[in-house]
Amino acid sequence: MNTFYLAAQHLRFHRVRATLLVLALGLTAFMPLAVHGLLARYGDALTRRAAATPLVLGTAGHRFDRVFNALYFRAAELDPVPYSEVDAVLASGLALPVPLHARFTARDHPVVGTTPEYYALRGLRAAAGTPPLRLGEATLGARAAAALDLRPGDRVPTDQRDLYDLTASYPLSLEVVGVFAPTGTPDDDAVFVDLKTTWTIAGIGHGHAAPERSGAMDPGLATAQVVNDENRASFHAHGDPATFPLTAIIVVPPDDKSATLLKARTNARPGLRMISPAAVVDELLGIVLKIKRFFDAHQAITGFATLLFVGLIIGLSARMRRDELWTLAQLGASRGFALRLQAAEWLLMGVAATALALLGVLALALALPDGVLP
Amino acid sequence: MEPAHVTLRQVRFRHARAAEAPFELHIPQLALRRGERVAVVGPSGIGKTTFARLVAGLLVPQSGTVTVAGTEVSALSEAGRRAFRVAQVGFIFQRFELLDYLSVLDNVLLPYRLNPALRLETPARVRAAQLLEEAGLTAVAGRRPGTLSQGEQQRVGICRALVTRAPLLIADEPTGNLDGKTTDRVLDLLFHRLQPDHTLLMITHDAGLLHRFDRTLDVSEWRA
Repeated sequence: MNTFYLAAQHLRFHRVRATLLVLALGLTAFMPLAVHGLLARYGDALTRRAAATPLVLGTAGHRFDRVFNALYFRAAELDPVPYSEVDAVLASGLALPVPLHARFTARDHPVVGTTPEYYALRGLRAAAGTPPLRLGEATLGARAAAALDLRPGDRVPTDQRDLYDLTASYPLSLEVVGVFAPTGTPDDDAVFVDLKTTWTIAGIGHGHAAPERSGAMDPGLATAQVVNDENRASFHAHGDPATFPLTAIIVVPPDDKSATLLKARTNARPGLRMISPAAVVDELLGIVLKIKRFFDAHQAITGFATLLFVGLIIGLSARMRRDELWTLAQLGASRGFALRLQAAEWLLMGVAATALALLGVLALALALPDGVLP
Repeated sequence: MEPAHVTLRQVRFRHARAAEAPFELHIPQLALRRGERVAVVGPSGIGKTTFARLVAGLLVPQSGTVTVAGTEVSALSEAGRRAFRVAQVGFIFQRFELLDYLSVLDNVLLPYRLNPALRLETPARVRAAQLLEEAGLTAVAGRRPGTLSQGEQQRVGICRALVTRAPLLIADEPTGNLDGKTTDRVLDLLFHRLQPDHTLLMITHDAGLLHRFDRTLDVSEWRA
């Protein structure tokens, strides 16, 4: 205890030097801890989300884009899947199809057009209001509602994708009718709407009422289409609904046999792919872990260099403290005492640096939303 | 007749110093009574500090014996000599040798923190507080030595040497860095607090202080 008391007094007296050393050691420890922790956390979140999504049907294309669009609503230039495929899956009797349309955003939050089956699949429960049932209605994920400070009765405009496209349709002013309870998944960041609403945003469906000014909601937005009880009936779409686009269809088979049959049938058709998100995520994590090995090697070299610097500092420190150690020896301290004293100082700094690194990782974990890729 | 507290017999100590002639001390016979106040004098470099370090067991003679309080120090192992010093010897240094990162009180109690044989308990703390009070340092007990005057720092050094009640006190030019008035104050404290049966061996260059001592040893007589 006396050794630690003296060590603590020494560090306290040389607090600036000690603080700098603790920060240097803490940062060296923080990086690998943070990378390991975040990888584990996001790997786990990815795996859980993928495992809860049995199959995804889409057009042939890059499987990573397709899976990330279906699971995380990441915008990607994907060829659309015609709505007729939903009917085809239903007609097969082998699975429940859950259509998704996730190409647009509302104030930078993904607008996800889907059906009530999606809310059942993901366990989404309205904490306030109701799920979106009609054209122009939106129910927000918990984090989106908090970030946009919106509640039932408010309105949120969709984002104009290309301000210079004069042929583009006006943004749609969505009426917030509900807020989902938090789930700790990407659903918390989304704005959920009915499929017809996304087709209206896409310009496939439209009404004949003049667009309204909606500057009160967004000063940068001159006009937006507004759907309300008076004009809702006037909104309609031209063309065959079977050809209307989706970005993906989540397919929920009751068993492995149905899944295998559906995959085989779908993948035999040109231009379509039925993929298993779990397999894609496994593949992705495999790539990430390979990259992490290079990062680990870099960290090991950095750690070794830090240890060399620490050794140099210990050597210089022992030289600078020669008089002090001589005095301690004169007063009866053993040779081992000087070593123990310096070891205790480094141990205290090591503990402080580790605590600092862990606090940093904890702060990072708290700052980043759970279950969602940053 | 009471046995001597410190005895040296046929002590020879020699060591080569870089770029200088070999250094050798030969002390045929020396005995110090318990409670004797002894001044050690001689020109610079003659071996005063070497003599004191031989008595304290910090150096071991090539031949002869050094006995303190009945223990033949020169025959002890390094660990044995360290244990002997902890129990028997208090040191006062010319440059005070206080630790700048400890408070005045912690500096006084430092021997207790360095030696497992000494117990840092209430009696030690009370004694340290009493010593600081008598040295007029109670008000600065919580301050760092670097904030004190040189005289105050040496008084802290004396308190540290006295706190363990070691029966042999070795002071290596304790007033060498102090002015005359401060020297008197420091020595008053030292002589006042020294127990009658505790022996003082003090190296000094100041002839004006010799009247305070029972005996004066001139180390130049022992230089071979």
